[in-house]
Amino acid sequence: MRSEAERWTGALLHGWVEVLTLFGMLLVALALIGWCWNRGLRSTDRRGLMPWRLLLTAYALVLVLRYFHEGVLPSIIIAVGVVIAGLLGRSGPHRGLWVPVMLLAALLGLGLNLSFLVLTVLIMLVLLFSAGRGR
Amino acid sequence: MRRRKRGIGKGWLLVAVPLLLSFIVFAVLLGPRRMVMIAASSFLSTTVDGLAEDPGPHGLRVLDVRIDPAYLDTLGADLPWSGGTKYPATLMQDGIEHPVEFRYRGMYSASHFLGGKRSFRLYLKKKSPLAPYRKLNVINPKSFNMVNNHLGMWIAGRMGAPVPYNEMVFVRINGEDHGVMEMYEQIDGDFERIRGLAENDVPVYKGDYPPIVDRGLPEKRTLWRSADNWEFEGKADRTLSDAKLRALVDVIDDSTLTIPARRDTLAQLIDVDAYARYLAAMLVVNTKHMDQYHNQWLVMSERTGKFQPVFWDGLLMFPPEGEPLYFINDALAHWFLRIPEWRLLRDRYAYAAMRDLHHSGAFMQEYDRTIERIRPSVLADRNKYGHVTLYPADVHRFSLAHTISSFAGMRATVNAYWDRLSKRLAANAVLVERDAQLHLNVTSEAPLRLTWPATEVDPPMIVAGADTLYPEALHGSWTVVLHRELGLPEGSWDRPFANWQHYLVMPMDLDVRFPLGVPRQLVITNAITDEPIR
Repeated sequence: MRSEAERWTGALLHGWVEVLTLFGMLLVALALIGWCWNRGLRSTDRRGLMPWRLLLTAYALVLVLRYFHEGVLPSIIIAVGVVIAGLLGRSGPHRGLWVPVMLLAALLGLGLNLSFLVLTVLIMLVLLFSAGRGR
Repeated sequence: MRRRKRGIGKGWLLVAVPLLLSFIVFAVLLGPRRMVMIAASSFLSTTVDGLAEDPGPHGLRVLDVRIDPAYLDTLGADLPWSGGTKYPATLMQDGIEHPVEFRYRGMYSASHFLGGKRSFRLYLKKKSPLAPYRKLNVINPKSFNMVNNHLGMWIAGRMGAPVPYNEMVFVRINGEDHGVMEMYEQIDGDFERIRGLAENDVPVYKGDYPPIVDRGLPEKRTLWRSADNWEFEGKADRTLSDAKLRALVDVIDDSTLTIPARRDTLAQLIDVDAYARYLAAMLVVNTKHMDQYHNQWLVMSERTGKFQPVFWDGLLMFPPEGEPLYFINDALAHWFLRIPEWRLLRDRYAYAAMRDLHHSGAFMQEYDRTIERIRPSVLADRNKYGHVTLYPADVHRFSLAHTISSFAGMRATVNAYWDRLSKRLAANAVLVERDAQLHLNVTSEAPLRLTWPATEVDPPMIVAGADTLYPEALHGSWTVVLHRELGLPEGSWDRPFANWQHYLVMPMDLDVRFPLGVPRQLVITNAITDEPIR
């Protein structure tokens, strides 16, 4: 009985750390992207570092993709995610970030961490080299 | 500005405090060390494994199994008890469907049935892509490096011990990756026939934990206590083999026999050379995984009519405590290792393996080849499950970092152990004094061989301590081996059925008297390595 309970506690911890790690990875990526986003703006126009609404939406996509990762389902989930991001991103201060960040979340959800890293760097570079006013 | 900063601080606190509390709860429930190890395996598997994208084509065979998911659900409903029923499945090979039967296997080790990579067995038709094998176990590897059993088997096979067919494969079930697994022949009466050593099935006995009849693990049984503890496998006639097995059990149980009487009786029942190779392989592989209770096989050879063992599930570097030279894995080894000639035969096989595998680098070449072959499949395997702590219940997903570190650790462990073993077998800590007689004081463990030119026709009588020895003629010389006396560590139980005992080699302080005085051209060599002692 004790062993059964330990088994589930261990599994719970493993899963808990996994979701925290995914959240942490997304959080760090978004913090870096948020910082780069703010670099292109005047200090008075700068908003918070972390777009929380975007973070939570992207994280939801990560978790859903983590569970449904075989067959055609991921494609449908990503498509729906991008459409939702487009709709949600029409208003708010980080308008131009929603779609790229959802793509970033899709990569993380599919376990493509290297692509996730590369896309993060790419987004950061684009933001650093582009003028804030045009976004 | 000040107000905004305080707001962020509160937000972070709201997140950080419950997080911290959750880890405190887990630390209390599991213990801090265990918690850290599970958390680390989860963190690393989430972060590191995803870096390996597009690892290239598999170097391993891809085993593509299709089975109705409803059957999988039924098999997995109440593991390990629910996994034993066979269900129809399909093995896909080059686009052709081959009918097979499928069931889960492995009740005793949690890594077989917990987690997402469950071990299973396939029952194949006579004509299948995996012929001539009819029963194959597909096992979740027990170690992080996934190959230590596979390589243990390779070593034993190279040393001439009978081994089952063993191959690393990449498994897909119903189109989804199941990951790297170890395909393993289930031994049956056809063991010799499929190797071209016999025309028909031969008697085969399995020495393992008792079969499970109810929801509960039965008590372990000491295999050599009774012939009934060995389960017959296959369809061969068992009349003679049963009688021989009973005789073997009687010899092992009888503690009154003298060493020569025991040697002569055992030699009629077991293939001494096969056993010497088997025990040598156990020493070289450094495993204690075949014991008084499980992982044993007896195959009665059609050619010799004697029993030979099969090296089974010999995990590489799963060592007995204290690294003994003469580890007693079971009751037969208890007596086998007491017979000096057989002990020497085992040691010579072990040393020959050291020269072949270690000194010539054959093992490390095979190790590198294996890593090269397995690498793309390990990189593609996102379903690596194993014991991430020493607790049986902790079968969780582990990472590439675990695998890479385990490969490096295994390389270092094997090299260090084989360095020590080679030195130990080749050690010559011998003090020699020659006057009217030969005085030998030996603190190393190898027996000594004395050789001198033969000048007479009849073998001279040599007196070594209280024993009288008659040398053998060898290439115009006389030669005699001074075997070592064995003892047991203090507090050990000198009984064949005692578990995990070992022998110690006693120091030798001996006077050797020759009839005509110590021969001038007497050569003393290490009887294991044949190196002269200067």
